[in-house]
Order: sequence, then structure tokens, then C-alpha cells
Amino acid sequence: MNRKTAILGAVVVAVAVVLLIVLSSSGSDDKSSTTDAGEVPTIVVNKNAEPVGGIAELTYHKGDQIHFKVKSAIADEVHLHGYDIPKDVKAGGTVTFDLPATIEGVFEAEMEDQKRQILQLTVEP
Amino acid sequence: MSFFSSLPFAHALVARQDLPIPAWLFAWGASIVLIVSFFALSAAWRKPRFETEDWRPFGAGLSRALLGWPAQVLCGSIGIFLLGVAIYAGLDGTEAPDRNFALTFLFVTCWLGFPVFSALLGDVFRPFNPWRAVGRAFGAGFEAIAGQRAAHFEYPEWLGRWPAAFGLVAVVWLEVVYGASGGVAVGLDPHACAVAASVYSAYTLAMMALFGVEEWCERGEVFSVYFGMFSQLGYFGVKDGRLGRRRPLSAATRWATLPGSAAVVIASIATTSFDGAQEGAFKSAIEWLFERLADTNLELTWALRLTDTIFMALCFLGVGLVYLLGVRGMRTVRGAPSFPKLRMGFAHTLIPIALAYLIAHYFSLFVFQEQAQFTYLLSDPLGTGTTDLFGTASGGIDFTVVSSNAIWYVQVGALVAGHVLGLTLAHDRALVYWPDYRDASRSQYWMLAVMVAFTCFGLYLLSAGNG
Repeated sequence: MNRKTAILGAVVVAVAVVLLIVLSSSGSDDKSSTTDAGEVPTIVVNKNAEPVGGIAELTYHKGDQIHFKVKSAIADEVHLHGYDIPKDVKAGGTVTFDLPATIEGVFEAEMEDQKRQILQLTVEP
Repeated sequence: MSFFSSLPFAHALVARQDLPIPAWLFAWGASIVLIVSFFALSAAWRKPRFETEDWRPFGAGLSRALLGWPAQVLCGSIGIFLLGVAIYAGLDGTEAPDRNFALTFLFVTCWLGFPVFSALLGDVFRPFNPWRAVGRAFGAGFEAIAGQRAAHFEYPEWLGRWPAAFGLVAVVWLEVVYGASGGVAVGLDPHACAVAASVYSAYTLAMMALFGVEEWCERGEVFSVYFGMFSQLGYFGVKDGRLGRRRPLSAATRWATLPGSAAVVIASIATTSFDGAQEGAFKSAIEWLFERLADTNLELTWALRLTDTIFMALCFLGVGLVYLLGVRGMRTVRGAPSFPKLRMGFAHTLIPIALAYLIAHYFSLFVFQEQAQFTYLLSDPLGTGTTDLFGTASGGIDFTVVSSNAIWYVQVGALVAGHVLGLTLAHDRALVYWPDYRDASRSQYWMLAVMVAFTCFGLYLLSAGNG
């Protein structure tokens, strides 16, 4: 191995190590809201089947209890995909989802008939 | 509220998306790539090893059994039947993409399955190609009646594999752009899918009639060219009508000899990149442009399609530009061949990267959706809930069959493996063009930069969420 190659190798390894340290220490840049114990998040859906304040984001860890409510101005089916839980909601009514987080991944809940996403649910390992 | 959130939301095929790879795994993956690349340069071999196939045919009996006309008729018939079922299901079945046989069969089982199985087992699509089977049957019928083979136009040499490259982009565009609705990757409705399959069938058979069945399959038929490209990586192949084994990767060194071949592999990487990025890395930019276009009173769905089309085109340009910069860089090394020769000569080195991108981005989709394919979609292909052909209509997808950790390791492992195989092919080809080992190594600084760029970009897409 000549001198030039050795220097190039040292630079590459140094960059790799720096990258490793920087990114490993940066941690997760989780922008979604993790639910506080005791507080049940409520997603309010307006007459256009849109979630007030935008699509809600909830994050749990596997083994946690997923717990949220949907208060809807219109009658529809609220469907939590992946976990495949459909719940009918009446106009002005509220439905509650309370289930263990058994499947990892990113899931959507939607107003099924209106085809509107209202929630992005993340379950981390 | 933005225009984006007021778009109707379509069901994705799979109701679960992957978690982004964690930062620590991104860092490890990128570090391994850099370190492996350095050692590849400093400790690599000095004579080409993959330019010869070391071909060893299997016994004649095995070739007769697997390649003889009874097997060809059987496989071709299966291909025609399954295409027919998919088109029928698309036209007459439920509008829900996740409950209709057509979408999963065409865009998951075939589109994602054949590349991987082709790399492992050889060109397995070829005997099942329904259009080839129909074309050959018509050709045989014509010969029997007319007493001579059908005459064809000469295929323009300059056209090469460009029809396949454009077709590949069109297939993915149909799936992830035309079918997108509310930002969902696969929202194509089954009816549109069936119509597209019918139109493509008519187009393909017409082209086969014009230029000949095998000629069109080799150059223009999207699926033959695309799956055939990945089959060049593997251990098994067919030569002079005999099945055999060869040195892995060696067949790839002779694949990119037709114009447009580089465009095919670049299109593969670019379209996968776009699909991976549209829900993650590009999401904000896509939303921004979409809002601008929506402000011009363009109908919302078409504003989204135009936005996605622009970003897909940018991906193609970006991937192509990175590759061409690498080729341009190699031209600066003493004794370099011409730019066109280098551009064509190194295109095959991107095939492992293209396969790695596919595996990294669609592994979980394939694992989950194939459970649907072989349970309820098989028993109830129309998705009407009224048939149960094999008693599996009530089956479902078990999302716990593979953990997020396992998916992450497969994703990162695929990208790193693709990187190593790409470097291997590039180094080997450099030794052909630069007999002096030192010049060959110098030329590979450029291709190494290309490979590192693609691999780290792939890792970045995974870390930003791949939808």
C-alpha cells in the first residue's frame, strides 16, 4: 500500500468514525407526540371529515397501551389500519380506541367512507 | 388547512409502513460502506475475473425437462392464465386495491418478486412471459399455415433498450404517481390497472408482430428486459438451449451492450428512489410544489400527479447525472477509453445497486402482501367476499411475522451488499480498460464515489422514512 493510499484510507476511516459518533449521539429526532400517562388524546374531526389541526401523530412503544379518542362531527367508520379495528361513530359522537401496541410500524387511522386520514400512529420497538 | 390534506385518501396495499432506520444504524451502515470501499481499493485483485463465465452446462435430460416444448407450453399457459385472471379481477372485482387480486399480483408478486428470484435462479420470467407465449403461438400458427416464418421489420439498432427504459418509468409512474392519492404509494384502482395491462398487452403483441418475438423481448418488452437484467447477476443461466451454471456476476459484464441499457438500470434506481423519498425525504418539497400548482387552479389530483412526475423526473436526472459524473471522472485517467464506451461499459455495475434498492425499499411490503396473495386474494380474487376457492378467504396478514429490527437489518444489509457487488464489477471492468493496475485503481476513485453516493443516499432515504 503506497503512502497516498494510506492517507486516503486514514481520511476515509476518520470520516467514518466521525460520522458514526455524530449520528449515534444525535439520537432520535422524534417530532411526533408521545402520549402522557393519564391524558387521553382526542382527535376532533370536522364536518369535512378533516382532523382539526391537521393529521394527528401519536407514538408508542411496543407493549404500551394505545389509547385515543375520536370526536366526529359526521357519522362514519373510524378505521385503524394495520391493527384492523373499525369503529362506527355517530354525528357528534365519540369513539375510544384502547388496545395494546403489539405490532411495530407506522399505521393510519382514517374516516373510512370519506377516505380522509386523521391519525398517523407510530409503534416503535 | 392545506390543499394537501384535503385530497381524498386512498388505501395503501399494506396497512403498515416501515419505521425509519434509526440514526445509529444509518451511521454504522455508512461507516461500513466507507471502510469496505477503502479496503476494496487497496486490496483488490489485479486481473479481470468476471469477464469469462466459466460456463458448465447441466445434464441434457434436465435441460430437456425444463426447457423442452411441453414445459414451455405449460409455463406459457400459466402465464397467460394468470395475466387473464389479473385483468378479469381488475375489471370485474372490487375497487379496493388491497382486496383485489390484480394490484398485488402485478405490482408485488411479479414486479417485486421476479427481480429477486431472477437474480437467484436465472431468467425465470422468460418461460412464463404471457406475451412471449402468445407471440410464439401465433408465430408457430403462421408458419404452419403459410409454410414459412413470418417476416419482420429490422429493429433499429439505435433504439436499443430505450423502449424498455421508457416503459419501466411508465409502469412505476402508473403505480406510484397516477395511482397516488393523498400521498399513498399504491392507490391505483384495479380497473385502471386492468385497462393498463390490456393496453400494454396489445402494444407488446403489435411490437412483436413488427419486430419479432425474441427481438422485442430482448430489447423492448419492459418486463423481459427488466427481470432479465437482474438474472445476469446469478449463478444459473441458459446458453444454446442448455441450462447451466456460471460464475456469479459474470453474465452481467455482457448485458449493457445495447443502447439504452444504462437508462434501464438508472430508471430502476431512480424510480425506487422516488417511491422511497416521496413519503419521507421529499415529502416537504413535494407538498410545497403541490401547493404552488394547486394555487393555479389545477385540479388537485392532477396537481399532485404533476408534482410527483416532476420529482420522479428529477430523480432520473439526478441518478443519471451522478453516474455520468463518475464516467466523466474516469475519462481523466491516463489511457481511458472514449466517454460513450465508458458510459456503456460500466452501466452493468449499477445492477446490484438497483437490486439492493428494490430489496431495501420493498422487502417488508413483499413479505406482508404475499401473505395476502396466498390467502384471501387467492381464494377471493375479485374481493367480493362471495367466493372461497381454496378455503383461505378469511386469512389475513400477520404483521408480527417479521420485526422492525429484522426489516432494518435486511434493508441496510441489502444496500451494503449491493455496494460491494457494484464495486466488484466496476473494479473488474476497470482492469479490462486499464491494463495497468495503478491506472485502473485511479479510475475507480470515481466509481467508488458514485457507489458511495448511491448507497449513502439509499441509507438516507431509509432513515427519513420510506413510506
